[in-house]
Amino acid sequence: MTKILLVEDNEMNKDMLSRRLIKKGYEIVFAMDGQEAIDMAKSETPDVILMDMGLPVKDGLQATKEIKENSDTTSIPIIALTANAMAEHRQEALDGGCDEYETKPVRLPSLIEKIEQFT
Amino acid sequence: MAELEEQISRLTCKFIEPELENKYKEMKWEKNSNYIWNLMILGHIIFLLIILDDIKQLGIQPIYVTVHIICSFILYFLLFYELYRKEYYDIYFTLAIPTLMVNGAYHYYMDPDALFGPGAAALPLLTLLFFTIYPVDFLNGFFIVTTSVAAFLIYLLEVDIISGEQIPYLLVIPFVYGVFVKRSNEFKSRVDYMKTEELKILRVKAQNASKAKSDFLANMSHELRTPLNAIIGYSEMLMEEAEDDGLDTYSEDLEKINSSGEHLLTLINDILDLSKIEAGKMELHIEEFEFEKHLNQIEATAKPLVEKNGNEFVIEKPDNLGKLTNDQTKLRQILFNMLSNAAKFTKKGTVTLGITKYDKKVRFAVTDTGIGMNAEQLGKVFEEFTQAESSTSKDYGGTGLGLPISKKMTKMMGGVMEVESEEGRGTTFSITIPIVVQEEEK
Repeated sequence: MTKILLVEDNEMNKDMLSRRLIKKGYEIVFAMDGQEAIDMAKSETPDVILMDMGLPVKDGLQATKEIKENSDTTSIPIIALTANAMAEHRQEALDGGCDEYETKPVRLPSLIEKIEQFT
Repeated sequence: MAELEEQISRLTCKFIEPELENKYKEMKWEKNSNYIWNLMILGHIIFLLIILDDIKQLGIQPIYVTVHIICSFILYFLLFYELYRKEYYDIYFTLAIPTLMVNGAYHYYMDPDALFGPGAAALPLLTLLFFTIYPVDFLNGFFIVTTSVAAFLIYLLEVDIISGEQIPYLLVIPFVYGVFVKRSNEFKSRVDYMKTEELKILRVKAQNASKAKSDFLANMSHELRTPLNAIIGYSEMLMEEAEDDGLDTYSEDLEKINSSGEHLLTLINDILDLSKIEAGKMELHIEEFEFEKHLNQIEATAKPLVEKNGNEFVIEKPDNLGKLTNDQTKLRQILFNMLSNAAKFTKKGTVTLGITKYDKKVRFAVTDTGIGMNAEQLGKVFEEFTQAESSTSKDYGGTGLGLPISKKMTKMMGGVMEVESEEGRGTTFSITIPIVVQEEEK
């Protein structure tokens, strides 16, 4: 079973996305902020990380950078999730080390397609 | 309100902006200093004419003359340097008319018959000519003419009976002239100044207000999207669950919540785009790309949309499309907007994407065989929140922002967006953009 680390600070988004993904047969672990995401990436070794960009403590870009710099976690694919639909934000996320990009509100079929391409 | 204030201020010569009053005072002093030059020079024109021509007759001491000539040359030099530097061409003209008058008087003095000869007609004609070239306001013109004629008449009288001691009194004429011109010009320049400077400030204020509005919109639409995430996500989730559990009555209502959420999201995205363009925050990401590949993507996305209403989707393109250097994301957004519009307003017809390559430009035209527009609707098509008729949005959906955004983006990309339409026959939207966009064309 594919294990997904969902990094999201908004309770509702977290609840909605995780329930839908669990229904589709994924295993979900959570992190609430950037630092927690870095720690969880090490301890849980998920198959894919879904990373919100606007996070407390350390933002998504910073967390992504640190995960990619750590040799234990560098191979984990990261899909950026953000409400900013503009092209520059997409570029910013991709330049920051994210492997893919999904705009919120999340289109589930498109997200699953992106998750599947990494597993 | 602001307009009324502006009108009152213009009528009463009062400034709306306190800082403008100070700026104006500075400018006024600078300009007035030129009238002082003007005044001094005029005095010397008359003075020199008299002493140089009538030096023996009037018995003026040569040393007195020499000093005045030297002083005059310095004054002339300073004045013309000043005029050259500040480009106050109007002073050349205010100077020229009285000078002409005095010269005329001098010629009369040398040959009294000339006053009634052909040379005399030249004077009023030349005066007229100057007023045609340089349109001064009525008051200014009136004072120039009156004082010039006065100078002329006084000179005519004086040359016959004048004595050396009386010459300095002649300086009163240019002084009077100067005071009048200064007063009339004060009013004129105040109005001119207000017209330019105050409007400039009002414009900056309006721009700032517009920018604040755009910033607010950009922030707001970001904040609005977060709760929308939940609305769209949860309704989608419930729709899936309702379908699984066979609860069809719920599915239909949930579908309405979901599609309203989606509509709201499109609106917010469009407003965000528009506010970004207006705030000057939307940037071009210029890159070179193979258009053929790009076109395949557009075709894949647009085809199902066009064929939904039973339409045929046709692409007409030259064989060698080659490379484009422009913003491909924006180009895709514009093309997709044109195609989805065509698809929306056409049923069981044809939607054609035609691409024509010119020397340095490329034209993309989307032609449909749909409902078309009449002249009035055509005129409003690029206005924000306008669809041809308010009733059409009920039947066809849409935010009314897609086309204004596309038009603005096309302009950013150095191109133009055009529309042709005939009611009942169909519509053609087209954009023509440079194949290689230059940075400054933004």
